[in-house]
Amino acid sequence: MNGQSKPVTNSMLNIPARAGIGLRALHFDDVLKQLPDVAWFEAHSENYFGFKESGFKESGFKESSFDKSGIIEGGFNNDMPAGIPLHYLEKVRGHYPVSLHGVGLSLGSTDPLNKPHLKKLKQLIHRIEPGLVSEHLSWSSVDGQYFNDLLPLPYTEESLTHMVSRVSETQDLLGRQILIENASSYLEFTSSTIPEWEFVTALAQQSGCKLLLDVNNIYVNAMNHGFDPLLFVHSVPAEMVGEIHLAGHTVKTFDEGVLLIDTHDQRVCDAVWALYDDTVAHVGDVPALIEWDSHLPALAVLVEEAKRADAIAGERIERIA
Amino acid sequence: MSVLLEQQRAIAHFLTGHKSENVSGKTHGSVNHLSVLPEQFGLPALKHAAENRFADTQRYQIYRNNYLISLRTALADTYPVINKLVGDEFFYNVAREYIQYKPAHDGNVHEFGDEFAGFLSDFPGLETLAYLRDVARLEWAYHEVFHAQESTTLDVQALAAIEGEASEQLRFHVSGHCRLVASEFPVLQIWRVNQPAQNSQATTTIDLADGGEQLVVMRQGLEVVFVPVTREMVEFLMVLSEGVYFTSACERLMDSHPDCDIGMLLNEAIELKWLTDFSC
Repeated sequence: MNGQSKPVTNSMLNIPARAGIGLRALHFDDVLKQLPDVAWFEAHSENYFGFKESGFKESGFKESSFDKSGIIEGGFNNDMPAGIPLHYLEKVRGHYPVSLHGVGLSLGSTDPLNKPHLKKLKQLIHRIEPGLVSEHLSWSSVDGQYFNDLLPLPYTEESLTHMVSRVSETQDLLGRQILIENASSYLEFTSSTIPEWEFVTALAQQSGCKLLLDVNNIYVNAMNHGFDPLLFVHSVPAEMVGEIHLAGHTVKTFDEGVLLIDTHDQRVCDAVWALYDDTVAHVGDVPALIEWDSHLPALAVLVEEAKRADAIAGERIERIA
Repeated sequence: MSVLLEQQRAIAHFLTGHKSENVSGKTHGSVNHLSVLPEQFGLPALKHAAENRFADTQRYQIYRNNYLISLRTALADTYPVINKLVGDEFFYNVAREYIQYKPAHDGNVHEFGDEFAGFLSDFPGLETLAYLRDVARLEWAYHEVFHAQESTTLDVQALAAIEGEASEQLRFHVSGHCRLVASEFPVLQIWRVNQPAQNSQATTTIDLADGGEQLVVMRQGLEVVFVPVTREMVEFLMVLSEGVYFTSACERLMDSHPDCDIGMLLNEAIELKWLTDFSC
């Protein structure tokens, strides 16, 4: 596509039922220069929160006891701090629909919901006007300490009640529906009484959220825990699925057996492409996203993967029609 | 206590609970966590799929690895020059100790690592490399400024219109989006020669006795820039940032630097948007 001919508009709000790619700082300049032929971009919300003005100080030292806030009331902008990443995201948003994907809200945590974090997310939503907002079925903090990881929940009635209330509260505070993504896991609790696919379905039914079906995570869990990934896919009501994630994982072989680790550092494997094909057959036309978080390749590789997702979905939808 | 809370605390304890025996830098081998039984942490029991023979601890250990790797990676992303200077292996160890010393307390991982500079200066084996702390301060300043917004311009016309008694009440607001790094070492030189774009084959010798640098780290559009400043400017900005009246700031500055040209300092500070607002 000739990027120059594309109208720069902020009206492209909705995420189309095509493949998008993740927006990474390494690709900021390339994206704006090339305006690649992908349907939309996903941005990790926290990367754009920015840092608040914290008083002029010498780096690395604690702030002086002086409270600058009393000096000039209303003299400076108290809105969302627009750091360099946000500037790029706004530029990209001028050309593409954007989805905001959170990784740090820790919805499954037993700590109180992180309101300051939610407030920043709400400010970002207001500024970017994303087509979709998503988070994870996991927890990443307890007693105020964060682990920067998506930790697993047991699938119990207690967890379900907890997640439903957290997702509902989040949607109320944001004033919009969110999508919840099924996470990958390397263990299963004996206390779990509900199959994962029933858990996510009940969560969507009871909280009114939609599901972000990560087919790579389904595949990883199916291999790690020994269930049929198609059983998961077919058990989820099609109308509850608002988005699909695709990613690469790493197969690790130990003396004790094989474990699939959700690394997001390579191309989507054939088995996951096949599962994607089956998923599209079940849920129909929904947006899909190529996730790639570490060992980032050139932008062209991500675009290639997105085209492959589009081709698979296109063929499948045609066959169904 | 709810079952869920109990479980999350047990897992958190496992992820963080292995305080290394010492921080002496002598035993930097990896701690063998596999020898620890999950029951010792009250970890929830796990189901076992037929095809594998992983012990519970091994499964939990994957999460511990992910936790340490993800925060170490975050630290390395913020402090690439420190990583390069001390090498991957040493950085690995410092990062692991730092993660225990000052765990993440925010869902935004970019907030992690704010006390790394001070931690480095006390770290065993690095005591004699005092410049590392200041390089880390420079990297944190860069990181903070990268995520901060650009400073706004002070209304010069309104400032010029101040007359009479009002001028005695004049106070300036120093931009909270800038950072100051004052060091007795040539920190910017060290930072520059260790940027990825530099030819890694070439060896550049920096004389640590080359003299110190005072830098204001600030945004200029989409760039983070370093502006070398004089000692007079450092004191000028620091005094003003205390929120004192401009008249008393001038008196203090003239006491310590009788020859300094305050008009020039003021002009430069306004032009570079270090002073963003005023009140009177």
